[in-house]
Amino acid sequence: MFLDSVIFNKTKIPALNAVLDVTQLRQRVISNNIANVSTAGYRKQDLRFQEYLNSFVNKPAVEGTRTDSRHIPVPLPVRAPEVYEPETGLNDTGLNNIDIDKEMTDLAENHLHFNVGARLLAGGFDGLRKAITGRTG
Amino acid sequence: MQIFDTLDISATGLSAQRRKMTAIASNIANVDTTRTDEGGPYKRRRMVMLEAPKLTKFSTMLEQTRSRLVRTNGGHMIEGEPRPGEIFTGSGVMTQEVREEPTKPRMVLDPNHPDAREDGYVVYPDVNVVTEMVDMIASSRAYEANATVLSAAKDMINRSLEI
Repeated sequence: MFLDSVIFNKTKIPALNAVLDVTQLRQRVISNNIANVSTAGYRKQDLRFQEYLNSFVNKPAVEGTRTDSRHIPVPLPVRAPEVYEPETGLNDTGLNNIDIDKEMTDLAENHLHFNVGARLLAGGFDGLRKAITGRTG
Repeated sequence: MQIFDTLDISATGLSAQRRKMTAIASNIANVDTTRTDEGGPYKRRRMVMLEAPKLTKFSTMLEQTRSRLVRTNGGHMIEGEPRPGEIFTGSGVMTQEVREEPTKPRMVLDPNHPDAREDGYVVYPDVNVVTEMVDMIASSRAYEANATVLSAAKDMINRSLEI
């Protein structure tokens, strides 16, 4: 959209939007692990997202324009976040490979991550609003 | 709504642990039960946890079908990347109840007991109170963990309303 490219894409809003999307998805992955803490044979899942978030921060030095569908895109498209099963051994109960302490820590970390993203996003919108109206409040 | 799916997942965890707790309570309450409707001593109830089947949402299926229809040539651009929220389809946990056949029933010599066998022994259920207690503590901790996840998810939803 035109407005997007003029206003929003020049701010940190798209990056923070991605942070909220990713942390919210990771919350679901973690809560699924915790819900299955006593399921025999369950395999822990996690989300790979670092590369995706980095792509918002580290802008490529060169960007190629594609005039033909056979052109190789420069830079290469970033891998979207994906769910994977980390290779960890069975835990002490022998039921599955969920380490509840690790899950709870990940949960707390993810929660804070989301809160930071939400706070910054609110700040970003506030700044835009001030820029548009030209006054505070 | 994607963000409410977390609440659903944690809710399946909470209710599974609660059902497990009910089974444990029933086992402990019936530790001395020698007579049941189906005959014989009480059989231990065990809750087996299963991973709930993966959810495929209508919107996801529609999106997939739509992009399949749109692309008629390998050179066509892929329209619409899946949103990050749509790649995970886990939906929590479910339980299945199993009545265990006794492997080592407790035998007590008490010829005056109304349910005593001809040799004077009474067959008590194969319920070990210590095992039940340990299961109970584990289940209670798992319940707490799910409750923590739930309150974290609630806080995230509230926080996103402040944007």
